[in-house]
Amino acid sequence: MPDTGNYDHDNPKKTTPADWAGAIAALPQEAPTPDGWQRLQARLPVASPIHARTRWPLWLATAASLALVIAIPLRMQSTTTTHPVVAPSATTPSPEPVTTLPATDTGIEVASLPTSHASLESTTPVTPTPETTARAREPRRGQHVDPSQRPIHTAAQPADTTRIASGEKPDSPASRASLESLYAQSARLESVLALARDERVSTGTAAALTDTLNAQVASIDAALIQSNVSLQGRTDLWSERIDTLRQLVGIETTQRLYSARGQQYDAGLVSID
Amino acid sequence: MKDMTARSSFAIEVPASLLARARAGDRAAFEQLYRWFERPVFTLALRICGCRNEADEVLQDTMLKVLSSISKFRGHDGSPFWGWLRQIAVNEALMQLRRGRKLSAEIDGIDTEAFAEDHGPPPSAAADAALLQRALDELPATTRSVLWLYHAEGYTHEEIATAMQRSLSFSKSQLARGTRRLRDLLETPRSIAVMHVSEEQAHA
Repeated sequence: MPDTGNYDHDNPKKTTPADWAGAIAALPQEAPTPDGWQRLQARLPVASPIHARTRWPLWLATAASLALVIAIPLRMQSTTTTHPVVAPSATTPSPEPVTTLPATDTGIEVASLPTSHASLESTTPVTPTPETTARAREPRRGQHVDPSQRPIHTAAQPADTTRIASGEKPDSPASRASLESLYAQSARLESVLALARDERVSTGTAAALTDTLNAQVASIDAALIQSNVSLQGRTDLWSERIDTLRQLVGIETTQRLYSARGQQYDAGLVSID
Repeated sequence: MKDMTARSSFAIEVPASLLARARAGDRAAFEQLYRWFERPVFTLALRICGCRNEADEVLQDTMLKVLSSISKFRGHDGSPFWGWLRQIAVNEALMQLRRGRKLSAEIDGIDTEAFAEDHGPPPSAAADAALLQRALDELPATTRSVLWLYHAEGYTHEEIATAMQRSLSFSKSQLARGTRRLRDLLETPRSIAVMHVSEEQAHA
């Protein structure tokens, strides 16, 4: 039905403006099309000189992101089938897990090292001593930690993969092999996550998402350090941990990829007035 | 400038830290500035140009200019960032009018009586935003621009004359004539409504 123009302008409830300026200034603001920022971004200069020094070259970032996206599923697949690190303890359990790093390092810290793809293959569960575990948990005052290498744990005293691995007594060799496999996958994912994480390319939505997942990992870790968890329960928790870590890695690598393309990870942004 | 800047929708105080980040090329800071000012810029451009597509173009050009030359803004003598941004938006909108050759669209005639400003209270119909907007749309682009800059943005006649590259008397006469026309339109609102109904029917 067309507007008949019955605006009821004589309605005394409406406040008549005192002057023209008041009337005109009281008009509501108009909203532009919602994709304005995206279009403007495409027209902005690619990068300022300041950021050009601190950011990765575009081709390198793209290549790294793609390599991570391809490598992760391949690594996961090979681990669950024929990975040599996982298999041995099933038949001839060795008294101590294979250690390829100094005994003072924990699995988490291995993950935080800027390792190459080859070095990821040698990442295995490590048996720490109580002293080294405690030391690893203490914050190192005065030592700067790069955000990209920060461990994902933020909740209160979460367990790391190796500490839990060393503390438990599996019921059977098969169960132990299964858990060892999960430990290895978890450690590997943490290594990849440390490499992929870059808070400079994070957006609000992605940061909120990763925070939620980090909290989820922390709560799983908190559940794992309980002594009364059954073997099946541990296996489930470790599987859940790996699943959450995979999601985290997916978000971080996708963010990098989007950033390298000059796009944004967020599906939509809202303005908060 | 008249003491009416507080009414301007542009009057948003931008923190120095945000400006510093934007000067350093921080995209997030750019986006923040864009989100804060997109509506004031778009509204100003729409009032001046009278067309959403052109207003959108003005918004893009304004923001591109602001963000690419933000390092030149120093805020000397206490001038706020929003004032600088608004000046760019006004210039871009008027440039758009020139491109569309609409800057010559004005209520004709300059005489002594035309300078008499309408200080009386506006009709009650002015409280109706839709009606007031329609009445404004009826005015020629230049006349509407003068009214908007004077009443909504608090520009002086000198500033309007400078921005439009016209004389002081031009600004005064357009304001007086435009206000009178606006009053006429609002005092007979049914004529506007009937006109729009017939337009809609013609388009249907």
